[in-house]
Amino acid sequence: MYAFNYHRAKTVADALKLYKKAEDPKFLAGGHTLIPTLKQRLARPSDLIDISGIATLKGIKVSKTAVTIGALTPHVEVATSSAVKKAIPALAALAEEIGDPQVRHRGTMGGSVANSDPAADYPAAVLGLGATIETNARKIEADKYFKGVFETALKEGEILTKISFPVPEKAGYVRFDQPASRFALVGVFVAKFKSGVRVAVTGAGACAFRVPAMEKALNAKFAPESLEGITVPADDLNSDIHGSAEYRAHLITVMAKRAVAAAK
Amino acid sequence: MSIRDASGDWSTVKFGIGQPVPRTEDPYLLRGEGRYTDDLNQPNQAYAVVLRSGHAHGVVKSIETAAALEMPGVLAVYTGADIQKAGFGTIKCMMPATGRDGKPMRQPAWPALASDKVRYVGNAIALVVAESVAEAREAAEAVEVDIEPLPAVTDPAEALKPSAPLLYDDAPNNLAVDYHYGDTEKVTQAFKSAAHITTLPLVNNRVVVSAMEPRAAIGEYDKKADKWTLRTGSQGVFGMRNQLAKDVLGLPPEMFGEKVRVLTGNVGGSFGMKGQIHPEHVAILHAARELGRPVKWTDLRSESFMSDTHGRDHDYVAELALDKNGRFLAVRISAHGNLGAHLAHAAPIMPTVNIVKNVLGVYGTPLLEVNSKLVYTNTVPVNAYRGAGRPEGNYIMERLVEAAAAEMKIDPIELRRRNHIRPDQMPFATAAGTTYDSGDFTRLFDRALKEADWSGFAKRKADSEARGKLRGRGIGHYLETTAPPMKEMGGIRFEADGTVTIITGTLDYGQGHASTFAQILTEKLGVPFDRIRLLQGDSDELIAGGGTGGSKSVMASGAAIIEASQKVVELGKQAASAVLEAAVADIEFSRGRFTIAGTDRAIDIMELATKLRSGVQLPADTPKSLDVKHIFDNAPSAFPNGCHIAEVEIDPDTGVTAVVNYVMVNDFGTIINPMLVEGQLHGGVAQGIGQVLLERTVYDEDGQFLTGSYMDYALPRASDLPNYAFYSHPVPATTNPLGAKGCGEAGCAGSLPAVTNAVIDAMRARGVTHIDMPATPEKVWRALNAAG
Repeated sequence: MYAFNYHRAKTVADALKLYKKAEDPKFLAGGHTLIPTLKQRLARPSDLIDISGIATLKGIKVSKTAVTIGALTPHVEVATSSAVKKAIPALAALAEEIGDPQVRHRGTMGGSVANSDPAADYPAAVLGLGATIETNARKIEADKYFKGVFETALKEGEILTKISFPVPEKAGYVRFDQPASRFALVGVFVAKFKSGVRVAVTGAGACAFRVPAMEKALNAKFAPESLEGITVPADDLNSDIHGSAEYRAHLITVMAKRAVAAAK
Repeated sequence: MSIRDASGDWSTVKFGIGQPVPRTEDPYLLRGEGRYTDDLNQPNQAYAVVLRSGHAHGVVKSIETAAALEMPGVLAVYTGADIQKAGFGTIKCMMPATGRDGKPMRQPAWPALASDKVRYVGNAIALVVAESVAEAREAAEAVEVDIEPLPAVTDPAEALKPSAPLLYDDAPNNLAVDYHYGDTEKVTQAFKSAAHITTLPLVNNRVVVSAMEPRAAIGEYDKKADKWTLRTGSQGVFGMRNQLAKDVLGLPPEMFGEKVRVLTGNVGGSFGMKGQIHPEHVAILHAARELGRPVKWTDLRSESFMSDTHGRDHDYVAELALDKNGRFLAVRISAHGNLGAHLAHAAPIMPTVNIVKNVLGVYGTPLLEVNSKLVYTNTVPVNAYRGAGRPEGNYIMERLVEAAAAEMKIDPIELRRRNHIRPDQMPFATAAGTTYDSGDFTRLFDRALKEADWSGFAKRKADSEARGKLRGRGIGHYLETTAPPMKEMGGIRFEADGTVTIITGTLDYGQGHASTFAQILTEKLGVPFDRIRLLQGDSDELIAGGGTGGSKSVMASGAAIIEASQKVVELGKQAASAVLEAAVADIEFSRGRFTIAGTDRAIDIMELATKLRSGVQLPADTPKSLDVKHIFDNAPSAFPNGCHIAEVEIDPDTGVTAVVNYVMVNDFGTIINPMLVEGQLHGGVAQGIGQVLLERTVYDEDGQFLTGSYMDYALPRASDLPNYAFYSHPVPATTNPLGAKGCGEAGCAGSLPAVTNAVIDAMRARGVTHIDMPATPEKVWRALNAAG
């Protein structure tokens, strides 16, 4: 790890001010991507602005229509919240499956979604549920948020503050683990709303993406067999030593069927 | 097999042979009070970091150290040229093989730091020493190394081709040795006369060792005494000291002890990997002498993927010739052993002699031929890994047997029974040149079938099918030949504080020697178990030591302790005769007490030791103590064997395999501590399941190492493993005083074939007859699709 200046922000305004003043700053939340990157000396920020102590960015609010989660809420709180379990059980179950207990106690939802790791779990839920991402400056629809590998609609210095998930009729998330890292080789989030079904895939592409053909089929009938024969073209999918694009394409259909079967 | 006498002082026998005594080290290890190498610090020590090659193959054009030397805290930067100039020797293989032409193998020099060429990603180039690790690491980045890249080769068959890049000028075709065993003419004849020949191409995949404790070392040099001290993890300090003294320092044998001391504390796993002098050891010793300070080096986990030796990495064409009744006539194997870029200390034995000694297993095959080419490639050096050729040999045979049964449409159970060596054939001289002393293979096999409910499989298979899963079962009926006899020390010392120290040249790196050896001593001498200590990791205390490896510690050290105990009793009788004022011939020893025969006058062994130390006036010829330093060198290889039966479920939609049942019956002869033996098997089977289903080491065509962290290298986790059912069918060995057979590597030997055969069995109905390890989900899915 290279040397850096450390700041602890008390408020969002405080964090933004510190960010502007620094030469090459980075925000630090749960640190689950940033700290390993620093330890491997793959990044050399001049300043780390620790936002993990900003109380207004934490907490879960559940209404009849939406679950709103502060960006700094650790996965364990989402996983164990009885309100979330009741409103969107698939979201709580997804959080429960992220990493290991240490990761879940330290890693944050905002950190994961801001980072947009191609193999992260939360992006599938954000896109699958059609969530709204709020920042210090604006609201961004999920469909306009994920742009590419580690690339989102967030601008330089913009802080993700909370994410609001509409409550679906039912939803399910099923992940196929990459055998070593146990990140998602393919994860599929399926949500059924009155307005229609959304299917979002993580792990298989550059970032989370939807599968319109599957949504259409599930709108006709929300059942696993509706997805029979519907596949995502392998052309643009990730391919690595753990799974070729062809295998990932196959797994998307398998996981989507299982997510539909698991939806509640 | 307990040798307890009836007169019941249970304070000793309850910790005796055959008892499940917990490991004495567990409480302090669990409290975090272990003394692993990185826990140690020497006054005024400096810290070293190794700069490694990012190229798989290349010419070192220049190494610029000036900028690094200017950086804060930096004390020195050493290169290969410095080490060479200082006169250090290179690292030598300790178990070389001989070629079919009778010539020694080609063993190019393995210097501590590469100076002319780099030959694999991770090859050490320079040692940076500073006041802190952070400063050393910072400075290492400032060392500028100019490497002109060369084409690389990572596959041994490719490396043998005339067009392949050449690693060493003195190893044409990258060939280290062309090894041959067996009577080619007879074997050829047997294959000609065979009713059926089964041929299998097989791969034994390369694994990353992944010891829980990464390597570390502290090097010191005492200028006044001209003595080197190396503190590091090892598998036995005596052998490490000798290797260092002889090969690296070029000392004559009589000076080894005077000039070199190797110390090992707790070791967090090794599996063969820590059993040799590594490049970092040499480099930090050089630095320590140059700087006049102790120098400490601790590996990073990510660095360990390329700084530690790897395991396995063979490929074979294996053939089994059978007559029309399914009797085995001959086994023929031609193998490639990937050595990596250097010849590690035990590397030659795995694809050569240890295949020979282990492939025939429990079957009476009369003929064997093994042809192996050992090849240098641009990969991390390969060394021993849990079993070191033993699991590889058993894997080959059990795959062949299963394939032959399917091809000849003979029940695999029946085929095995027909070829078992029978107890009445013992001692049995094998085609490998070994002689099995004991074994009860058919009965052990039948017990395993019973415990695994072999006959009830159809119902379980139907249950799996109802859930959309493919179920398969597989057998791994193994027999291992443990390491050959070596000189081993059995020391017993009665200490002033009332404890008794056992001194052995074997070394515990997780096995639980302290309890095991204490159980033997308490049984033989009646010394209270809780007074017994174990000393292993100080070469200055040893007069011999073969170290731990090849599943032989309990035979070698156990026997050494027994014989040393007998010497203690002899000394004790003499001393007791003086103290009790009776003739030596009238002194009897039993359960820790020396008694004048036919009287109630007696003295306890511990009291006697105290008395001798107290300086009480005794006749001049009375022993001054009961201490014994004994060398034992006659624990021949034993033949632990067993049958492991695995059941798997495959999800055909994803290719994911789960091991759902695992039953093992093992013959380890006399078991000293059944709990620790079972623990050894749990660990060994876990490693085996990892190798069969998960562990995949990948190099790309440029020799870049693609699985250099646990993000990409998959180790088994608790959730990947089933509950194990462990049973024993012991037949004591006749070749060592304990009757023990050794158990450390058996878990791998049984599980590799059992689980792989189960995976194939699950897919057989879908037309799949072969898969290589690791059976990763995509590979299984593709196999099912290709066949379907």
